[in-house]
Amino acid sequence: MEYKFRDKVYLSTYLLDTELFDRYNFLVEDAVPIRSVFILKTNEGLKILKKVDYKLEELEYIYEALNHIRRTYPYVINFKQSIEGKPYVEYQGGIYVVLDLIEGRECIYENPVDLIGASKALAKLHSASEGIKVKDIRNNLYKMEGNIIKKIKELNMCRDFAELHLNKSDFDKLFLEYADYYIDEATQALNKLQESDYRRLCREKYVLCHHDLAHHNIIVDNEDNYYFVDFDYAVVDLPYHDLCNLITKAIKHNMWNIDMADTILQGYSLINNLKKEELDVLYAYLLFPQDFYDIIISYYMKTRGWDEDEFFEKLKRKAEYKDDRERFLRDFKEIIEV
Amino acid sequence: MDFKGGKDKIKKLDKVDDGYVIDLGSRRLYLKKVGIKESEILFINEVIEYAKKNGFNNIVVFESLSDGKPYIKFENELYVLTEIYSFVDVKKDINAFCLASLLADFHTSTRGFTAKDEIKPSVTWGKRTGKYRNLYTILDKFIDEVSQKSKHNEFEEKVISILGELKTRGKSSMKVFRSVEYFNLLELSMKKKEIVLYDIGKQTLTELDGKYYIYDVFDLAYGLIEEDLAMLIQKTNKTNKEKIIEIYSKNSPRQININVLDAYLNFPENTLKVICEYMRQKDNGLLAKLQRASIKDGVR
Repeated sequence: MEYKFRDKVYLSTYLLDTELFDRYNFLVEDAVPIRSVFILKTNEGLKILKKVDYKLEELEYIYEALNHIRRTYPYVINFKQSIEGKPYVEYQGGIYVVLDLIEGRECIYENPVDLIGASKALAKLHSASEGIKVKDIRNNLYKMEGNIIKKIKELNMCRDFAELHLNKSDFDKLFLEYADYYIDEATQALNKLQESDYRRLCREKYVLCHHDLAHHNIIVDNEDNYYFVDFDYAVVDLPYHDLCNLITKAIKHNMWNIDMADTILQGYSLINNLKKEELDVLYAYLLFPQDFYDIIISYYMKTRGWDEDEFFEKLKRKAEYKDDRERFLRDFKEIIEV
Repeated sequence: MDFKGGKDKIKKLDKVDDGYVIDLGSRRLYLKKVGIKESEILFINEVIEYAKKNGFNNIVVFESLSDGKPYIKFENELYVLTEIYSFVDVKKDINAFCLASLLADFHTSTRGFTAKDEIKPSVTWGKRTGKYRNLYTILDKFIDEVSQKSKHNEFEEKVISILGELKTRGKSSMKVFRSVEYFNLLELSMKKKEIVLYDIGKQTLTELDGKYYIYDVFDLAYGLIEEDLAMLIQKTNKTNKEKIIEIYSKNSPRQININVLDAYLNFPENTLKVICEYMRQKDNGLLAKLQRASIKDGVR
């Protein structure tokens, strides 16, 4: 319910009028809202209208990066050119893009055929981005250590904040039960990263990371090609960032199943073989408790509009899978030691 | 309720379970409440039309309304309009065999279906085995938990008494679901774009004017055919398995993978679901439910 409300709020900021559509050389017959975009029925088929909420400079970078990738891996979303020959339109203070709608179905991570397919496709996407121009924007290289240190500080701060509350909420109490454990996990992740070849790999192995590999962002078309859509969060980083993202998204609703993670590694390695030093960095990424961090920061920094109960339920779910996560990390370590 | 649709006027409207019976004078129709999304109804309707184009007419039809949609919205609920069918009990052997034959024709006529651009496909490949995998993991967690206790309650004692069989059956099914054989079968099903009913229940088989129809299409999706057959065999009597396979195979060019079918049949899903519920609630009162489930699964 909360996401639908958030989407409605965002959709209401779109300015849908003919002046916007006139900036493209197609005719719009209808516009249907889905999630936070509009599906346009046009004389050139179905298209997606998206209002972008980041800087133009970043959009242009992503556009160039995707053009680079498309030379060797064509299955990435494409921007429709405006009549001015740009991949976007600036209109009444907003930046809008129009994307082709990919005919197909969303990837299902529980399906081993899809999981292997998506993993191989991810490896091909990463390979296709080799040689990409690196700029200051959308650049995560060498930053992971600093990011983790900052996040540990923030978690400690939130813990102090929760301890100070005289009338502790249910969220405060639950957080305090697990705070030390997860701060320790984050510290271990930092240690592992510092022991690894992270900095050398940043020099040699950077790629464009999608950074939001939810199953609905991988579309399987009618010829069984795996398309990547929604590059809004794309960054230049090590490929293990995306692998960590894909593994976590696949397993966190499947009892942190090690077989699924193994399938992803196998699929990825069929295209890009991963060496031991790379797997060590991946392990460090997985060790960092990103989900726990996200929910804690959202609550104490009030970055989401959820109510108290929703926050508590989400934290409770993360607390419930602590043992599964531990077991997964143990099993994962064994796999990479072999 | 204001229909504003169709040429016939509504003479009478009677509330029934799951919806309304509409009397139009010349016809009586069933307005059924469906707990699925608009996109799912559109997908299902497209599949039905595709099946009919390929000669399969033994399937429910959603009456089209004046706006051309196969559903209406009323008080935030979705309804479809159909003929009034009589539901047929698939637990009876003869009816199960009839459904096996219909399933063969249904699967054949819907194979290869591709949804139109604007219709979001419903897909189930891998979902059921994903659920089974999670249930099997919960069994392991239950074992870890009880092995650390010196005293067990009645529920735990009962599970411990059947643990050997649960583990053996679960493990052997999971072995098949992790196999190359299963992977290849899934790949084949995906290439052929197989459509399944996904669930077989009390409303799957119906009768109207002496003919039999598939009615409950509300979980219809892309999926693995072996799952539909497994669901049918489980609903009837497992001793009918060979006969059902024989009837199905006579009416369908698709070869059934018996190993994979058996893996679905042998997995003690109902018992593990109750154990899963117990792990969440720690309610000893689930014992009766456990016993019913283990009988259903044929766990001694």
